[in-house]
Amino acid sequence: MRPAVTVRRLAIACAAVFALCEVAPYLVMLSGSLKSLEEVSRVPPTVLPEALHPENYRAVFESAPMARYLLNTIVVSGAIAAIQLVLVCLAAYALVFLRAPGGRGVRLLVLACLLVPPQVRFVPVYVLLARFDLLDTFFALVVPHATSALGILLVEKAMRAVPPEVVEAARLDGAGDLAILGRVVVPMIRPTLVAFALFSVVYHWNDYFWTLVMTTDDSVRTLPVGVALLREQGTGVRWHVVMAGNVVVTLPVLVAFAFAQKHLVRAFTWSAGK
Amino acid sequence: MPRRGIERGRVVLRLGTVLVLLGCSGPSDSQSAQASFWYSYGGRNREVLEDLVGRFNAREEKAGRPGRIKGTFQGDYFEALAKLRAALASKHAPALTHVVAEAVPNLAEAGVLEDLGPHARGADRLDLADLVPALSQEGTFDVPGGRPKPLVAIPFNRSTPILYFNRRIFDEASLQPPATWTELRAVARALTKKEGDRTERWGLACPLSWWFWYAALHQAGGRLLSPDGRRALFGSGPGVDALRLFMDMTAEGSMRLPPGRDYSAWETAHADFVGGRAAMVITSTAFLAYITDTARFDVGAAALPGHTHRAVPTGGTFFVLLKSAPTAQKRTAWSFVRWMSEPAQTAEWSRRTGYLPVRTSAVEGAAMQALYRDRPNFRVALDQLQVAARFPWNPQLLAIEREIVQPALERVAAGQATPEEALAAAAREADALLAGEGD
Amino acid sequence: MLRTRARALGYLLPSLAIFAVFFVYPILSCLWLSLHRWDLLGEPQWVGAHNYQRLLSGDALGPVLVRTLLYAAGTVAGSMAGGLLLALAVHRTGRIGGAIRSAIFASYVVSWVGVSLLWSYLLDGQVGPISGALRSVGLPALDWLGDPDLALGSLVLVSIWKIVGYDMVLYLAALEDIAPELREAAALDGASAWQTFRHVLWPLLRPTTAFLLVTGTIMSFQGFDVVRVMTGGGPANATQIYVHWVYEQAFAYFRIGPASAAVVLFLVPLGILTWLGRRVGRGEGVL
Repeated sequence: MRPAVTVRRLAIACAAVFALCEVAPYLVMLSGSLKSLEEVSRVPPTVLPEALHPENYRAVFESAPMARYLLNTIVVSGAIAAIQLVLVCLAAYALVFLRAPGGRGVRLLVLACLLVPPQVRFVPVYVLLARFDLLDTFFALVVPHATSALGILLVEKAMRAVPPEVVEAARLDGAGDLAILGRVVVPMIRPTLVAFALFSVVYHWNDYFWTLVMTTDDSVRTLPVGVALLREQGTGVRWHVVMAGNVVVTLPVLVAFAFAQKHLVRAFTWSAGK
Repeated sequence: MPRRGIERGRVVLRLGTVLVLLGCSGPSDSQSAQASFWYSYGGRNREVLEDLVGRFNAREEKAGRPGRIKGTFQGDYFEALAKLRAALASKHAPALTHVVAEAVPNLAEAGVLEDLGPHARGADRLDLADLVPALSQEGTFDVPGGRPKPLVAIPFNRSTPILYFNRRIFDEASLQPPATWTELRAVARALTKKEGDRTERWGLACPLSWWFWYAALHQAGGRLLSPDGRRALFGSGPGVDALRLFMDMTAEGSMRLPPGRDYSAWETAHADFVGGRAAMVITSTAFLAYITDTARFDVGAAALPGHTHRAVPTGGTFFVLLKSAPTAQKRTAWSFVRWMSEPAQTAEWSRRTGYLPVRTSAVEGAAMQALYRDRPNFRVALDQLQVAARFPWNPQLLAIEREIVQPALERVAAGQATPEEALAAAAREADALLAGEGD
Repeated sequence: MLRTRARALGYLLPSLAIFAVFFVYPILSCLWLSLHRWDLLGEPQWVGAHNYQRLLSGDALGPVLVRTLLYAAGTVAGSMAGGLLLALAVHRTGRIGGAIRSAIFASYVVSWVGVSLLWSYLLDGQVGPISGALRSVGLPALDWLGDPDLALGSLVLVSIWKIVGYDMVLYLAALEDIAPELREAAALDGASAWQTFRHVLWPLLRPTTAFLLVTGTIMSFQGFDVVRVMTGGGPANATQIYVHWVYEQAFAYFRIGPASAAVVLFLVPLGILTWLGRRVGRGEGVL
């Protein structure tokens, strides 16, 4: 089947080229982060730095409490993802297996929530949180995101694919809701949960806007805000430091992703009783 | 997950949230004299600012006074303005912040700014007469009816646009920096180098920004609004001439209008100049240090060319205090403002960032005079203050700038309208806004 | 029965409470503000339906909606098609496939702000490496971000570049799940690659497609950072899409009233489209 093999090879080659396109900008970023100011502003740009300037990274860490931002980012995204998984599973379970009343109403509500982005919502929430002195707390960053409309939509859909007989059988065996949820349902919808958790962590790790507007000082701020600090308006100067900052923000996620890849793939492809 | 696991997980999470919540409430002690200072600087300016804040705090501590300033970054100018308003709406505003000149009338008329007159005359005295006239609130704004407004703003980082030119290119062509519009066009044309249909070098790079158009408007003898602030006067005549200056030069290929908006356009213009792709660039004096350091050629600075008049607008920001802050915090904030305006500090700020010093005594002092001797380019903006054009004191000023004029300029740049059409339409919109119909 | 309902409500309550406070309350606030005139200072003034009248009779809303839809359509279609093709190409190719997959997915996990900054530099019509490369082969350098006709398309391309990895990974997982016997059976029956795809693979990929369609559409309607950092809505409003436009109206011009009215008005078409997307994804068809 030679034509098929050639097509295959061609396809992989194209994919590889595309992958290079995806990676190249990061190499540019990495390269830029090690250049001097003069070199990074040069046109046409050099590919590799003429001399390495790792002090750019020092400038990044000296200019803002990056370590604290990193810690905050981990805490916030982790907490959000963890709490979301719990609340979303509970809500979806109620909608699917307990036939909660007002299902359609809830779904409409969920839809509406999806279409009102944070830029639109923030002023009333800001005023409310300010009233209770909750600005500049993890509460302000985590709780508004403690549940997810998108998550409920997706997990509910996934739960509907679970055969009701299995749930019935477990119930007849005397299992309570949480046992059913934990031992029966969740393992069957794991790919959806993983896909959603991934989406959520990435989204909140990189969230700039909500963190910016809900915080007025550094105590709970996260990495994206830290990187914004490096930008100097108008001069376009310090591209090299900005690039270094970007590398600092990006690296933890890439590293985590590299490690988590195996688990991710396994989670995606593990199908029990499908 | 086994059931016990879930239960345990939830308990842990709840506990964790509570702990974290408890551990991280911010100080809301209204008795404290620690004042929040919200600023919009990133990059190097921020570092200089934080350094100065640190020195102020150390000074206060040594003197045994309780006041401290806590500076925090709040995003860029416009994010910070948005947050400021949200904070005001929720009664959680900081004591001190800085805003662009065009935003001052709006905030002042809304009644949220602290009257600084008593502070200036009080124990922490500030010699208002020593402020550089063109940079102070009084010298920056034209109040309709002529009645002076209460003092609400002290100049912080102030600037004017100047004309930067590449000395090497000018020397090679035996040219002088242009002093009039006619000369500007001639010089730009002469220094433009084309290769086929690709331009290797433009004569001039200039972002299509309200600020530079405002300069040209006044250079052509025009005004933005009528003296009573009811009508827009920029829709024809000098306003159009001002825009035509840029558009005609762009049309004949001697000027580059960088793409993008706001600061990304400015950055492109700077990069073009520094990279030798533009022989001249019109931009703020605030970038003088950056451009001089980055360019690999001798950088010259000159006053903006004039037309029927010479004129430049001022730019940058003013310190403002918020009325709603507790008294103790306002006192600290004022101390800081006053300290920053002292000749020593304003000279240092000016040297390290490139903005203008705001005190006459600083200008005449040894440090700045030495700087001007060694680096005469830094004088250019200062000397231009003699022909500084004022802004009308009007709460709609910022809206007119960003919502009406700037998009009109962009429409013309994109070829969607002629200067006459766009500005006439803009003037009509501005009239409606001023009459209170627009919203 | 009652106990079941009570339990159901109990499980729903935390989520509903959070929605109530952080979503419903702001939406209601939005509705209320849309009937007023407010610049965040001072007191809101009642203006009734004035904001709606001006928006509907004006010519600002329509183009913003169209641009938002174009951006969403382009981004979603591009990333899904790209993700699927990449998944098909990389499927079961061992380590090379793994490396390619990682490289492509990396962009997804990085922040929009970082990506936008990077691409602003790369796409600069004069200075950026891409234009430089084009020029060196004799092609005209385009002004990717400065030309009103190209700007939105450029943003779509950058967005696709960023998120295609996610789509690819999900399609890959779905492909891995399809028993190889199915494909072999089809091959034995003499089916061509295209036929195999259309009749065997595609239907089995439908759940993934639906998932991606819904998430992709929703996320692209919320597109903000890419516009804010790369073009600021320009040039000449060519990239002014929903969220960015509302944000500017509210916070650059302090017209909270019209901004809120715009949000309410946008909910209608966006809501309908999202609902349609879900139906298509479910295979129920649109009719």
